[in-house]
Amino acid sequence: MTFNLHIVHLYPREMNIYGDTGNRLILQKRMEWRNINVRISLVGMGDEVPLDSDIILGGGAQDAMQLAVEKDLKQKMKSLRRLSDDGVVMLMVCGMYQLFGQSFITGSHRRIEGLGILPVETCAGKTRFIGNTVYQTKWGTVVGYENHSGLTQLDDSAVAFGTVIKGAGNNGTDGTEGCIKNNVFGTYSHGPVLSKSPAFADELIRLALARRYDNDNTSLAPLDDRMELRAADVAKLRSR
Amino acid sequence: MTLLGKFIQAVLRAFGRKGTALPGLVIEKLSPGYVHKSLAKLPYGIIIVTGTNGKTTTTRIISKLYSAAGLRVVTNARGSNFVRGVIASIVKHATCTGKLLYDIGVFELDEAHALHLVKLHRPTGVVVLNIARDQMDRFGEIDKVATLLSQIVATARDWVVLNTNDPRVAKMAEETQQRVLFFGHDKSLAHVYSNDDQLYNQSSAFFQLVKPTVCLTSIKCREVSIRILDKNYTTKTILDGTHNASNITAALTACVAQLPEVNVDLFVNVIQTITPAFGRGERIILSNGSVIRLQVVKNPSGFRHALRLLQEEAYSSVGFAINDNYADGRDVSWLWDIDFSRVNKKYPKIFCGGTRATDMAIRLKYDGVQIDGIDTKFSTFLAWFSTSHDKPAIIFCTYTAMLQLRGLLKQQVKALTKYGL
Repeated sequence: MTFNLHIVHLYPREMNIYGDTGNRLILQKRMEWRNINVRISLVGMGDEVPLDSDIILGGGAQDAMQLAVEKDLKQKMKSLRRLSDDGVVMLMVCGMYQLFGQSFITGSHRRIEGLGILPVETCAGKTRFIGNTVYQTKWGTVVGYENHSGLTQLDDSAVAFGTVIKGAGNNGTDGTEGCIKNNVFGTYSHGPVLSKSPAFADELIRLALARRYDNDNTSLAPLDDRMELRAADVAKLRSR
Repeated sequence: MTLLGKFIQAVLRAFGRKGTALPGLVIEKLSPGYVHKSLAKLPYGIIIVTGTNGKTTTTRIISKLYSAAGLRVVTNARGSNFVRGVIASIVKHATCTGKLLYDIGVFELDEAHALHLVKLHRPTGVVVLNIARDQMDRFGEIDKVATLLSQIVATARDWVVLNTNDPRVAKMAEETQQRVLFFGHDKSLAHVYSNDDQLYNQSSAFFQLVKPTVCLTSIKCREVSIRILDKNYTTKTILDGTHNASNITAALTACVAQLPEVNVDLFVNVIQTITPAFGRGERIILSNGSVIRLQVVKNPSGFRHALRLLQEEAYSSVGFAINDNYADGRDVSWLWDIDFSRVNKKYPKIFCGGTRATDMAIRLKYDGVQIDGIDTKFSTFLAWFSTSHDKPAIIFCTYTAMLQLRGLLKQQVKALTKYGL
């Protein structure tokens, strides 16, 4: 049986400054190495989000670009919410993670509505969290790099992506990092996050296959991840 | 103050240090007026070279060209592009009574430090090369960098040299009442100089604010053709690579700006004698006769240009030395903004080194590049390049990796390009 998955990259031109485009390449390769056919769509300003998306990716950007995207995102709100409810796998990093939340409160106390897909709220903070990060997650240790000043709070019902071992995570105080709802994952981790966390990368692929082919027992052929795991071990030991 | 600085430099040298940072640090604290007082003695003032990529090499070219025209040039040639580095140069080159026996200063400075310096002393001329994404953890967002550079441009007393093909840089012409001279490249080279935005756009749209005074018209293997004030010139150059062709163009523009009375032929003729700066493509000859090139890479745009060197010359092996110390940028995510998929088609051996050798190795793995060795220790890494070979090896290295590799190579070195260790 041949498997086909459709990766959709949201705002690849506008939200791409921290190497998050790497997540797309990593998923693509890990699928191709397993003979899964991959289709990639780049969805920018004014474009429709494909309704047959299997994995949707988004990254971080500069403040000015984030404001521009936020307006365009309103046009995509309905379809993204529907896809999220439908179990489509999404990985949203940094700026896009914030925009996927309920709202963002700017430094001048202006409230910007988010997509409301993730049960989190972010307000502008005074200090910028910059440095290497290590989180403990369900898929093992995730190493990356954060660079944000937003303080993100989880709602009471929200599930965090992980707990912070090194770094600030969501807000630098409660020890949580990121958020998960349905199959939507939000995180502050660049790196890119999937580069040294192969188990998490594979979980995204597995979830997408399970949903597309309606088979909860989907499993993936193992890959040689020694290089990725070695890099993760090196990264863990780097100072903040 | 100069005496104090010289004393500190002497002590540092006695302990085997290079003495570029500390004297500046001490003098900055003790005598805030020192910089202005010293620089004010230069009859032609100072030229600031800034922007994301190409500062060190462009500063070197401008210095050589001004020297060829008979000016005595003081410069921060070691690539210490902080105000401290400028102070170190002043201290080093001043007489003990504080006299600077020079006509003009040519200093490379990054955006933050350039702003600091121009507040202490207004420059005669400012050269802004380009703005690309750089280490976000150190410099912040590209738009903020553009704002800083605009403020520097506004302080120029006589002239400004701007890149007409870089929208953010070209726009800075609005910031000054002084003479603005543009440099740039011909439309036929647009595909070579696509910027970060265009890369993601997958287009090679050609942007040009105005027709440049000095225009790069073609690049062949170690030969560039440049149109200067509507006359065409072609010259050989040791400074290979598309990035250097652009640096040469910018430097010639700074010559036309500062020395309009000098015949352009004089400058063009000197170009072919200029060797690479410290770690910027320089060739190090080992005692067994093999040659290692060191090419600093600091950000995606610089790395993409540097990789084109692989298409111009055959190498025995290719190294990637990636450190994540402060001066390199702590975040290595940027490696994913460069396409390495064409790297190993022709090159038999690929090695990764540095504190983040493993991150580099994964990056290459996902672009389908086979790797022959990975080691975070440079002693092991360098040994892979030391075997005798008729073709040179090339190592793309981050800034601190370059310094460390150079230090190690010093022990096995036979000769260096003229620029001494």
